[in-house]
Amino acid sequence: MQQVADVKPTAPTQAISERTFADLLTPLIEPGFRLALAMLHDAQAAEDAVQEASFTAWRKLDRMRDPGRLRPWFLGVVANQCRNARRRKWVADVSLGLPERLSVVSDEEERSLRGADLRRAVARLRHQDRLVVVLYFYLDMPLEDIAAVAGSSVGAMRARLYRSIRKLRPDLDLQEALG
Amino acid sequence: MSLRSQIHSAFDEVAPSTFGLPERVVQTAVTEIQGHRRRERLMLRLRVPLSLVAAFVLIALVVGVLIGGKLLHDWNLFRSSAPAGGGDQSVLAQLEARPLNFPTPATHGDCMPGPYNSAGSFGKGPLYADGGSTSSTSWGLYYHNLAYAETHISGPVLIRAMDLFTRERVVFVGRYAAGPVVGQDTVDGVAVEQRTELVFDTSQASNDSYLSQYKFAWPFTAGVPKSWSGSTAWQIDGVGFSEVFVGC
Repeated sequence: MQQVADVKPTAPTQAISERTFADLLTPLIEPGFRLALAMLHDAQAAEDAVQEASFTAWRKLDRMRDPGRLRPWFLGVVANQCRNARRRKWVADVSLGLPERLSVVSDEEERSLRGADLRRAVARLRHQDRLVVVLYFYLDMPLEDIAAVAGSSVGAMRARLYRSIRKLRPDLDLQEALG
Repeated sequence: MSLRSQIHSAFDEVAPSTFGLPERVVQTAVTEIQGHRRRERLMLRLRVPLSLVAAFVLIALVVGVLIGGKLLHDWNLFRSSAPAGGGDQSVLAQLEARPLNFPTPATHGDCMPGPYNSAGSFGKGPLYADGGSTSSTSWGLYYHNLAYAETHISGPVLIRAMDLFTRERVVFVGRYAAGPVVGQDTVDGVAVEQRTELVFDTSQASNDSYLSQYKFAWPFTAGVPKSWSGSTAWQIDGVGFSEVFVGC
């Protein structure tokens, strides 16, 4: 599948100043970090991925087709960095620091267990499925932007999202899940 | 609780604070970019001198190839044009293809010697010959002769000779003997091969001091068997001339 960061240049390279680049990039770091964290389940690895994505973004900024869609394009670069990072170090079975079972469970502990269970389920998804789930549910992005991040069509993203929900919550109604 | 809320909650509860993160990441990226641009500017400054060096190297390579090719070509030309075995083989082949135009006297009385030049040498020019001393062997008699020219001639000179009555070819031995080997003998204690042709190379004529009075001079040895008739005819073929003289 073609990634946004891999698109061919369609406009001549235009050098921009460090200040302009910093102004463009700063509001994208926080969502980029959240995406990386949800994808990698490791705060340090997530920060590294965003850092590398920032430099990659500067080098490939002239390849961006639509300057108005900088956010999905940058998140696409982050997603590629996450995929490369997982290739270098497999972190799917990351320990979340929580016991599998607790003998006495309070409400707070039960909420934590459910959260850990959900994170573990998301971590077990394939890269593209996990990306769609994180972007849609955690970063609250519309399918149009998700398609831009993944370099795919809206229909394909919708189908992938449905399949991923089924994997996460087989007993959950789709409309309820999407609500 | 919706799935969206559950996922938000699940990841937010493990997400560290992002306070200061954007500024830190952007500052690091900008520092990297500035370093990258410095390296680019350095490369840009080096590009011109490096391009010049590359251009000089390229020109040197091209010139080297051209000069080398020319030298190789000249060397091959020199080797192919150098005399092989005393003369231009293709010209010699053309001379050898010329027919022998010897007289056919019926009797010894019909044999007419000559022509001679003013010095009494055989030949009408440009090449002349004088007879010299002899050596005897069990096979026959060898004459140590001298051929010479007083004007410039070029290319190989071919000499063939024949007994006018026995029709046997006169043989040649020594330095200028050429053509097929027809026999072997020992002359003055030296083993020699008898050949049917004599070829003079005008680029390698003798430079003996006592012969310096001639433009070209070639001492040579011709042999006739004991059964020879005493009458021989000689044909000399060169580039642009052909002559025959007879000795009786």
